[in-house]
Amino acid sequence: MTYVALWCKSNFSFLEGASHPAELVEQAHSMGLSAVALTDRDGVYGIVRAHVRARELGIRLILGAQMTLTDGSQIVLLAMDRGGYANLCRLITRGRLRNPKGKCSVTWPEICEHAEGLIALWGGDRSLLVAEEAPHQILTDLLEAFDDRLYGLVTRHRRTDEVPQESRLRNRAGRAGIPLVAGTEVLYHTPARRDLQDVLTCIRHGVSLSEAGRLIRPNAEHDLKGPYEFRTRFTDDPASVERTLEVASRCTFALTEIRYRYPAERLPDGTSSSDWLRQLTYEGGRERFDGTISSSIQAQIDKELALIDELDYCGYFLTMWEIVQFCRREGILCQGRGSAANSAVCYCLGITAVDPTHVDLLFERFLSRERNEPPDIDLDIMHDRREEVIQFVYEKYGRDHAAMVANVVRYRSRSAVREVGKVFGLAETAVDRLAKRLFHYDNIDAQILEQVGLDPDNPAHTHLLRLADEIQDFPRHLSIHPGGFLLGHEPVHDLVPIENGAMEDRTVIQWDKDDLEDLGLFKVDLLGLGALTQLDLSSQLLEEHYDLRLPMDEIPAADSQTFDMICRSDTVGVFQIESRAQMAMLPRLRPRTYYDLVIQISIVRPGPITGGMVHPYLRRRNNEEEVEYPHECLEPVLERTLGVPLFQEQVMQLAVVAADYTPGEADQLRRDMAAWRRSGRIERHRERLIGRMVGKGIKQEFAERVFDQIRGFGEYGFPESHAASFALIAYGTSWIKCHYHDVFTCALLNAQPMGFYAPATIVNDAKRHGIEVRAISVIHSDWGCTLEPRETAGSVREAGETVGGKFAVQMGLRYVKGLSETRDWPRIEAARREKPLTSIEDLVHRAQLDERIVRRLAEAGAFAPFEQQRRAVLWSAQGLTGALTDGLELTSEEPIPRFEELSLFETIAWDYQASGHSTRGHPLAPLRSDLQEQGLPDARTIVSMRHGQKARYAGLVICRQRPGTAAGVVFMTLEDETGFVNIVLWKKVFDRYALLAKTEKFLGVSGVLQKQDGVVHLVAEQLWAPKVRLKPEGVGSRDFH
Amino acid sequence: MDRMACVSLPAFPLQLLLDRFPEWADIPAAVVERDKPQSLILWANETARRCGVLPGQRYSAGLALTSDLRAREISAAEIEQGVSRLSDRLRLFSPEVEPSAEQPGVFWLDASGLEAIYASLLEWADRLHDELSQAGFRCAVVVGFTRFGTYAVAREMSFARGKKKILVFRRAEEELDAARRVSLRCLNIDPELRDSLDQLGIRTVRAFIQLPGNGIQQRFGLEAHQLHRFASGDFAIPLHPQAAPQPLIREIDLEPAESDMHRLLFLINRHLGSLLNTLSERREALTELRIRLRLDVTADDSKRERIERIRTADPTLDPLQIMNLVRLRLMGDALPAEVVGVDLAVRSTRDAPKQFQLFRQLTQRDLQAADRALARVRAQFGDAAVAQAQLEERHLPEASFTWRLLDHVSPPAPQQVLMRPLVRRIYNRPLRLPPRPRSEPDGWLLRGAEHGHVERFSGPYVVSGGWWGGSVHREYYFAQTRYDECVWVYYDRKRRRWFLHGEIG
Repeated sequence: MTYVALWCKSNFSFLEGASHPAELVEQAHSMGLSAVALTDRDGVYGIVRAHVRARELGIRLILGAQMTLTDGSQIVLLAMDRGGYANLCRLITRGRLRNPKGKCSVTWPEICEHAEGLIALWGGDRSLLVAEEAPHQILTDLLEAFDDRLYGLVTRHRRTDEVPQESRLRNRAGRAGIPLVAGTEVLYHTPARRDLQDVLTCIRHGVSLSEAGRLIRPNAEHDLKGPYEFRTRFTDDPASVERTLEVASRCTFALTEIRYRYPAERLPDGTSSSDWLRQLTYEGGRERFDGTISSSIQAQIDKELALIDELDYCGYFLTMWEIVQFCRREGILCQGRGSAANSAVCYCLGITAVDPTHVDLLFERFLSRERNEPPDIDLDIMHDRREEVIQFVYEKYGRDHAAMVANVVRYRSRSAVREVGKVFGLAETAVDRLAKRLFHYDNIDAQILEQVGLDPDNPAHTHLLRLADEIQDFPRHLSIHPGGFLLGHEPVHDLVPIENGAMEDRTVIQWDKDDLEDLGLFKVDLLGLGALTQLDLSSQLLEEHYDLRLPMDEIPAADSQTFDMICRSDTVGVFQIESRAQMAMLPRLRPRTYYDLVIQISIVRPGPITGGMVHPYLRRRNNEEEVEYPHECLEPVLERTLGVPLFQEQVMQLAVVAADYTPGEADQLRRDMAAWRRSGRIERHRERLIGRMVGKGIKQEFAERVFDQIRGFGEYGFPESHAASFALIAYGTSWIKCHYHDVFTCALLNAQPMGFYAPATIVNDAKRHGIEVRAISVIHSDWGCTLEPRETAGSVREAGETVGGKFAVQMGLRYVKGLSETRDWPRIEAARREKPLTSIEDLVHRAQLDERIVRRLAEAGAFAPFEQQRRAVLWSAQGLTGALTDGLELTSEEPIPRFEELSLFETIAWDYQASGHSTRGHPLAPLRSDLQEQGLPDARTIVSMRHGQKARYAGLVICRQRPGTAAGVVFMTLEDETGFVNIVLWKKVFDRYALLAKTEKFLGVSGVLQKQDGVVHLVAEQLWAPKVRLKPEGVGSRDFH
Repeated sequence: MDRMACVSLPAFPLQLLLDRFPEWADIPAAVVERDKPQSLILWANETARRCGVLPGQRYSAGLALTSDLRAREISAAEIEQGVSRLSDRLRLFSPEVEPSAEQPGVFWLDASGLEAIYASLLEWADRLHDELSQAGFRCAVVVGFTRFGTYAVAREMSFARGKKKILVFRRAEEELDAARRVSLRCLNIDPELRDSLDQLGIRTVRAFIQLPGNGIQQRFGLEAHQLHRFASGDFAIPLHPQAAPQPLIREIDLEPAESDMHRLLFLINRHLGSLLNTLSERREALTELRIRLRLDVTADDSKRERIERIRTADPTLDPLQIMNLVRLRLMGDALPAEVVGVDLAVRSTRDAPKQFQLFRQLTQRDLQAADRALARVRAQFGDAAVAQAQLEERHLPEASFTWRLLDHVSPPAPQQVLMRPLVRRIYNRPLRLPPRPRSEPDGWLLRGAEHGHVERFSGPYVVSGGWWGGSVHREYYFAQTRYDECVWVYYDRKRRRWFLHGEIG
């Protein structure tokens, strides 16, 4: 005879349960149990994972939760039907929303109010039914609300104190006529996890094992019991064991019953959402295609609309349209990306900007009948206004119908070592030393312990190794997905509980994006993108200063000057193609069309690099190698990338065409690719793919290469649809840089933080292009950077390069570190508006600036219009604010001491320290003569040197990169007043000079120049610290992995 | 002219750390603010500095530079202890030693007249330097004329390279000149002030004192102004030497030896009076009296002395109360031999004056009287005689309470327990039971036939855990014997044995 475990908590009862939901389900199945309940503490976080596994194994899953009451007691609730599940979700939502993040509590009246469709199991340690004082009133209320659905839960964990508890429970239940049901509180699927459960308990309470005392359980009796053991434990009361089956049979609800309807728009009378969508699509299409929609596009639109209607996704598209319309109305720049860019309907609705007549994209990647899964549309929104869109969604759909998707934060090796180490009471600095040696998914072994000076034979360290390994991938807490929203026709809290996020005004559901995907629910992604802010600011500046109204889709296409600039790698600040690696590729790929940019963006990615596809593509593009296809059937798939697969979509198409995958299987392949490192699921495609390809006459070698590439893609693959959307922005920003560098610089500086380079580099690049950049000034600067007329206005072009601009860029006060836009700027602005400033004293007095701010302004040289000697200004300013707080007169009779004048070197250093950049010069400019005396050339000279020549160079490190695909090679970018020098450090060189490479801001490099296709690298042989009189100031390198 | 010396031990907490972990001398090591990865590095050794690890960085940032970086926190108590230890050493060279209150590792000594004892002040400084070096400390010793002058130069020297850092100024002007050349970076001044001055291009003491004093005060506050006055020579504080702690003891030799306890008590009483007078002058009160009776030599060498510690209920200067306790302690036992000497040592505390109560409220329970009574019990039966059981949140029965020595009685705060625990008596050490035979024709006889065989047996209730060090797995049972004795037994699964752990009643 069997039984059903009705009170099981997984590791989604955060830091309490010690087994994954799937492990509990698997164990129950292997023990021959017909059903198992998942009742996590105050949540249903793990039910989707358990549901998926239970469905695979054919075991029934009962859904419920252990609820915490405001009095600290607990009760277990199980969902009998859909209504009960909705009640449970509503109840948890109520308990969660009234509490700060991570806490939950409900009242007894609320339990009774939501009783319909729920079974209550009342028992266990923290239940009032076993407490010393009888809960008369609560018992009466619960009986009234639950009637025959209230059970007394008799629990036995072989603890002495359970004997009197059980006796009280039996007495009270007997008197009230409540039936009893047997159970144990399951916290892990096997007793072997007991140690981990103890550790989790310690982490939850913030204590070490030696301090934990009774916080940890007294024995290992919280495992999932087999039927025999369970029945033996309740030999004296078989009826309560039988009743577990009765309870289970009453709970018929399964997650498959969740029927999800996307919120429908308010439609004009008599119009169905399908008609409304069609109407909007065609209206938009006519606008997009200048009034004429070609027959091929019309056919594509009709095909898409039919499928959307058939799958009942009209509401989803209308929602996206609604959000995009809101953005348009409010002047918020947005653009859809992701697989939605494969859809003509999305283009017509204005959701995406990729013209389907120009790019042949795979619609099935976006939506397919066979897959019958909701489409995924990512909407990029200018980053500084994304919050407005989020609040619009909340407002439009209500907090009941819209909530952000969760992101489950899990233990990785480092966090595991740190937290488990604390539990063992190890010195935190020693544990940190160990953690730093580990990579993300590393296993911890004895060798690493020895390396950090910990004794591997010490029992505490042995336990640390074992348990830190075991805890990996356990959920730690919930955070918010960067932009994912779940929207529902019914209130979202009937589907899944909603809780408070850490951020103010954010509510978040208890499931993450994988859960939504597994249940086939819709998600809307609203993501912030700095480049859109930059474009928006540029367009405002163009209109304001050049009287040019230029929406993004009207930027002149295929502009040869722009592509010339791109081919020269003159792309500092250009979206997507500004990184060191992209800049190194540009002269080799030499993009001349929009689609070339799509490829350029995709090719410098780990997928194509690890797949060995970059060089074949470049050779074929440069006619150094013949374009050939492994099989004629693959020609349509690979034609646009010269026979070399570069995009994720191509891999899917390839699987369909060459290995007879169905579109659904191909999409599964995509998902497995994305998860291969974690799950190893990709391997199950290996034989199928290779075998079928070989069967079709494709060479084994190619088939294997394709499979390896798929694996590479898995982790880092870049979809063509993403690249297509990004390429539009990349081209737009390039065009503005090429023709309106002043506008480009000003907008980019105002859109910070974003992109690859620090503001100092952007300013230096602008200056090298002849842009006049004016220093921060309390009289002339606004908060943001502005454009001001130049004395020698007019754009001059020399040797194909834009020199100067009509306007000078006036740096804004936003760049003075420590100045606040909301506190300080309004005061300064008001003082300036009132009447012109006459002196430092005047500003300090009228704007009531505090000492710290005056110091900052003085350090940044912002008082230069009044006084050039910054040290004297600083001294005076400090004195003034002292007088101000004393309520004394501001004018001071005290003579100013004589201070040493700042040298140019010091002036620039002060600028960098106070504002992160200098308009007065590059930090290396004052040292140039020194460097020249030592025979050290500048960057411009290095670029002009010949291939293979030995060179020594010294520059400021602005970027360090160690890509995972480069086998330990480190790339660095060094800068001086004339430009950049790219450095390549082979692993052994890096290892030898690791300290210098990691720490020096001003670095010397000796090596050999490598020049190919106009790309120059200095391959380092030696690193050294340059010997100069003064150490130049840098802005700190941006380092990437 | 008075001579003053300054001894500066650079990065003193780091020196203490390396004293504690000498094996860290050759690997990167640092003193951190707290034992946390994000904690600030306060001091780093030379090896760590070579790796780029600098004070002010976070430990985690230092770790990124060298993955071998060892670190420990040096607590204020450890530093205080170190300062006290060094003060004692320095007193060997000068009776007047003043450790810096703000800057551990800096000491001022009065060097006046010492050239009369040593060959010269240089010789004195040299020996002092050697003493500290032999103890494993790095330091600089400067003999001069002023507190600030010697300090500034010693600080600068202590950071410089070189083995022996000793300097003796012959003339005050030399010291003044040298002090003014010292870089502000060497002085222990507020980093914010130092950076502010650095920005103004003020980097030496000389440049600093050229700034107007009032301007300094207005901009940087009183502390900076005080430093300015010190450095300018406008203000000087004389040496405030720390007094060496004088133990309060009386050593009384008895000739002839004494064997009568009453006479001994009179003797103790007489000397106790003078000790209490001294305490009273120091505004202190006695908390413990240590009595050492030196015995006449007997065959048994281990009984050469008898030591007794008498603790009072509260700090007191009342000789009657103390002598009562002494009497209770000494009168109980006969002396094993004649007493040839008595040593009295006093432990005291600062006497906190109490307000006399005009109308003293009578309480039902006089806790002070209870404390005095306990002190008497302790005096008569020993310190361990008064203890209190305290509950502990532990699972193992024997660990669920501990005995704590009771110094003071506190008012009772009983908690209402409706259901009393079944087990009423727990053996501190479980009693080992004979192995349970496989065949029990007469039933299981736990404690022999006279207690009867077990008739009812309930369990098991499992207590297991401690897997991280000495794991335990016990299966507890309630056993009722034929003669209605209820006992609590367990089977220790690891040791494979039965034990009796408690009685039920």
